[in-house]
Amino acid sequence: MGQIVGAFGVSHAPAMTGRPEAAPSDQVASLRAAFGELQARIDALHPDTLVLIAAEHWANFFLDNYPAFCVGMGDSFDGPMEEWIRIDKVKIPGNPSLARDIVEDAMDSGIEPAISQSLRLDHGSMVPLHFLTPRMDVPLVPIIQNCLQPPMPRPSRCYEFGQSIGRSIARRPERVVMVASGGLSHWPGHQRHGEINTAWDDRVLRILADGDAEQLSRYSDAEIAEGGTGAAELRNWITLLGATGPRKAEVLAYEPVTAFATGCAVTAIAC
Amino acid sequence: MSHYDLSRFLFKFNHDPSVRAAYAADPITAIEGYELTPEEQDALARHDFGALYRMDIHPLLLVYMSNNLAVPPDQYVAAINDAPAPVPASGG
Repeated sequence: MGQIVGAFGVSHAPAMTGRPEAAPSDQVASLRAAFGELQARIDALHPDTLVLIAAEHWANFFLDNYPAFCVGMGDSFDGPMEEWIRIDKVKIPGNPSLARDIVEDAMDSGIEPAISQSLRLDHGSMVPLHFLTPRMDVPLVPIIQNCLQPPMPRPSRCYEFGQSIGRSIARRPERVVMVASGGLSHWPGHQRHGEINTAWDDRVLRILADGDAEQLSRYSDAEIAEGGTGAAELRNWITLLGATGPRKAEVLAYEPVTAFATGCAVTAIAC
Repeated sequence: MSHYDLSRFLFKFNHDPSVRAAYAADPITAIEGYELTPEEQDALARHDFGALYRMDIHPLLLVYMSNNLAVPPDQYVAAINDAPAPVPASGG
């Protein structure tokens, strides 16, 4: 029987790979050490597949058609879209069979994700993969959630979708690592760019450490917005917690990095 | 449709190197064919991020344009902070 052997929630600030020299070296070192620890854990787990719950930033979808959820069913995925994040272009293998089961089971649960055979991976996916699986060789199921253009899927719906993903993994043979990408507080490109709401970040991390996933799933749009426009990506963490269930999180690092304009977190959910 | 068309050009600019090359060669010609007001044409041709921000263009379309133009981040932030708050576009 398949299982989630590891689950991790991490930030994806593009400057982490694009401009690390702009940030204080102690903060960069803290984040790199935490990512390095998670990379070692993932290596030791020998996962068959990585299911990545991520946001994208106009890499695939535009205002003419923006899905709430999109499951990548391709044989492979190309990334990164951006030259300026300084990650080498790569083709990552997919797991179309698991991806299809995730979609089928979601539909049986009353959730209809969009599907794509060809998702371009931007920094929302590539920055975590760069740090966690730098060989880029673990078959990937990318699941893109709308965290960009309102109206966005409800946190409670994200949690339900996560629960369905968890059931799909359980009935399959694979050992799966799940990663949620995004956050924490940030206002990318806005007039509040550079602000970090450390109190909001601290509250979210305490809720995660307590294992109270359902509290996050009940967050309102207003509560999420207190963490900035980029805090909409908390939806990805909520989906992951739906899959794992209410497990306690270990916070390996939290750094409010002004130069990255993001409250950056690296966490592991108990599995 | 002009807010939509303005966003659509930015989406293509950020995705297609040939659009970026055409814009670099002649921005006025590069934006022909899009339904834009004279004000939008001017802001886009001059990559006036403050003006585009005020037109309620999604900031991440603007950030990607600025990165693709190698505009220093501090310069982008200064440009949008010089602008008044965005005027919400219709259609959400």
